[in-house]
Amino acid sequence: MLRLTHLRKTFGRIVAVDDLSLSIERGSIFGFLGPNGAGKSTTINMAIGLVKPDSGTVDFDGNGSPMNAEVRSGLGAAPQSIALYDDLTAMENLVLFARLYGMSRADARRRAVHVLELTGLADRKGDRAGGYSGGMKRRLNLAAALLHDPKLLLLDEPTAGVDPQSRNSILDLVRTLRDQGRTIVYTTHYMEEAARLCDRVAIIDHGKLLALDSVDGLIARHGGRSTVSVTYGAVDGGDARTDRVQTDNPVAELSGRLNAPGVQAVRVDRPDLESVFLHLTGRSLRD
Amino acid sequence: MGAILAMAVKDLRLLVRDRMGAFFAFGFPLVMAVLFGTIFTDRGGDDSRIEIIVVDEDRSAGSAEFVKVLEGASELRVVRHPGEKQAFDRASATEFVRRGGVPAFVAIPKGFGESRESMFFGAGAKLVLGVDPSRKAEQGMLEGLLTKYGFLQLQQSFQDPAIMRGRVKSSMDRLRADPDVPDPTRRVLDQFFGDLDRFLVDLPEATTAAGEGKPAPDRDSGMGGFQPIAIEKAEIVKPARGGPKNAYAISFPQGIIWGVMGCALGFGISLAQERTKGTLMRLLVAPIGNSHVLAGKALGCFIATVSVSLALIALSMAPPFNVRPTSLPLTLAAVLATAVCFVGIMMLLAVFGGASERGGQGLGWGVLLLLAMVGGGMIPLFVMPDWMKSISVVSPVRWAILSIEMGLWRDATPIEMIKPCAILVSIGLIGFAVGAAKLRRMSIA
Repeated sequence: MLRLTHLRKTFGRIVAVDDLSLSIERGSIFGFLGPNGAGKSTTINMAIGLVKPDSGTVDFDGNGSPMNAEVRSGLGAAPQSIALYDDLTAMENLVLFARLYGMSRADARRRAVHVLELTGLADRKGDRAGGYSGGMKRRLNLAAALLHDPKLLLLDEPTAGVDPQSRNSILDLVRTLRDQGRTIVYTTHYMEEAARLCDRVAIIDHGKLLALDSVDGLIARHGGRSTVSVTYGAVDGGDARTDRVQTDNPVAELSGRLNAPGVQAVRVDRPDLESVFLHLTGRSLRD
Repeated sequence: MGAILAMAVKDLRLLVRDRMGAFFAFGFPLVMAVLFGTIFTDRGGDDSRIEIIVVDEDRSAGSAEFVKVLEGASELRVVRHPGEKQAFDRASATEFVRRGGVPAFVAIPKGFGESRESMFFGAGAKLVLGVDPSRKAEQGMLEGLLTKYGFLQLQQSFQDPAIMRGRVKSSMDRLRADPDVPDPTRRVLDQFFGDLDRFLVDLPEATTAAGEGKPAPDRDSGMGGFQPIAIEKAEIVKPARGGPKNAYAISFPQGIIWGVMGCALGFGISLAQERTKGTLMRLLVAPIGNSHVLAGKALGCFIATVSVSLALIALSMAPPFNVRPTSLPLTLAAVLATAVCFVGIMMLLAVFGGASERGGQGLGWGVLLLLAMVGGGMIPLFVMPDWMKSISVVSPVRWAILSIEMGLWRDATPIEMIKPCAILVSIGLIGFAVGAAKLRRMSIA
């Protein structure tokens, strides 16, 4: 569906994207995971044709580069910033954006109503966007990307600054869209979101692609081993202690220690994308 | 085209919903037009007579008669003291003129009436004329008018022999009583007055008797038809080209320009606003190009500019402003050409104003205020000194005001309208082309 080949982009002396190559399959949710400033947004902007790469190519569905306006008609994008007109109502915003895709006024209104219902904003369609809460604005931002029923959706940090309830709502919607057959590119710096949503994840830092695989594959290859922690109370005059063991088989390790005297607490820490990132970069994802 | 129209409608909606933007586009220009029009109207904008104060220091029958003549003069408006039951004296009249209350005062000094009675000898009747030094043109006119009305009385005297005989007798009496007149002069004038008196006794029979087949002489022409100078008016038919009918005919075109500039500035900084808020990215993700975005802004600006201009013109036609366009088609042509011009200026402000709203506003106001100052948007063109008038030709504001005035009151022909409209349209097209070329090279993200 989308192929990025040896993409490179610099802004002055800063290398934002450095020789990035990957392809994204149809009907999946593909995640870009990395800290702030990793190059995720720049990659997205090149993928939707807003920024011209210094070198490399972008090909959308075999139709060529999205720098070509016609190619962009199959793309939908929800940028990281809330790209809405605060002084226009939700309906007015959506009808405007729909008209940019060549829809008639009537079709634009119909599509606008549909996506507002999809995103749970139908009852507020006559209110100005400036009066929406942060979560509602994010949903409206996403709705604007769906108006023309695109085959490929690029969502750049769609849950940034949003409350947990709205975040869950957005994540559920993204899954629904994938189940409807759309291909979704999802950038985030939240490990939990990537783990929860994405079929495949590309880990990016300093503009480079560090790893690309399914979540389980990344964890298996780069996450390291599980850690089993067992806490023992004071026994026979001894001191309380906590034993930590790295193991590939936490269940077996745990079983062997549960029958020991004085076991007060046990804990199993499985590797996750955070530990994958730590392993790959030496830094925490939240640094 | 649908996308361009949708973006234009979007920008127009945003302009109307932005209170500050809407005020500068429409409210402020209206305030300017009404305020300045009213100020100049209160200063007697529609009355072309010269205002003067008359100070009668002589208080004789002769001076009172002369005051009446001045009050009845069609070229003059005698201004009374603002205080009830008060009258100007020379000092207060001088002060009033000095402060710019009226252009001049005329003082009738003591002895005026007596001097008028003494024909051909003595110092002669005198008037004192005090004129505001900044009103040189009025000074010349007033001197001529006072001379005219001074001689008019004398001329009227000559028309009636009975009155003339009275003057002659009075003059003879004064001559004989005046010790300062040299004896030789006294003798000559005494004889002259005697002969004149006899002439006047015989004159009524000569002027009223009609010869056979000859019409009686015109009594109004006096003394058998003789006048020192007779002025016959030759009729000149001229196309009805007048100046502004009232001060609002000048202030409303200026107000329109302020509205047009407000629209241009508002749309000019909107591109920076869209970039800052991220909506520009949204527009460009759609399958449209930079040129579509620019065209949408241009169309929106054009519609806003034309709407503001037409609304102000429509208002100017209503009471109490009562501006009557001499040609509606030419006025519309001027409005459209002005709109094209300022859309081009808007394009330049949009792309050269920088990425920030503040930068755009700063550049916009700087450029537009300068153009307005030089072009007649603040000081009317006709009061500018010559050197400033010659500079004003580089300002599109000048051509815009001129073209609108040509449609409203300058009675221009379509041929005469071509030049200012062509200049305006050219500026607009160049601005659009340069702006579009620059925007195509600009990075958006």
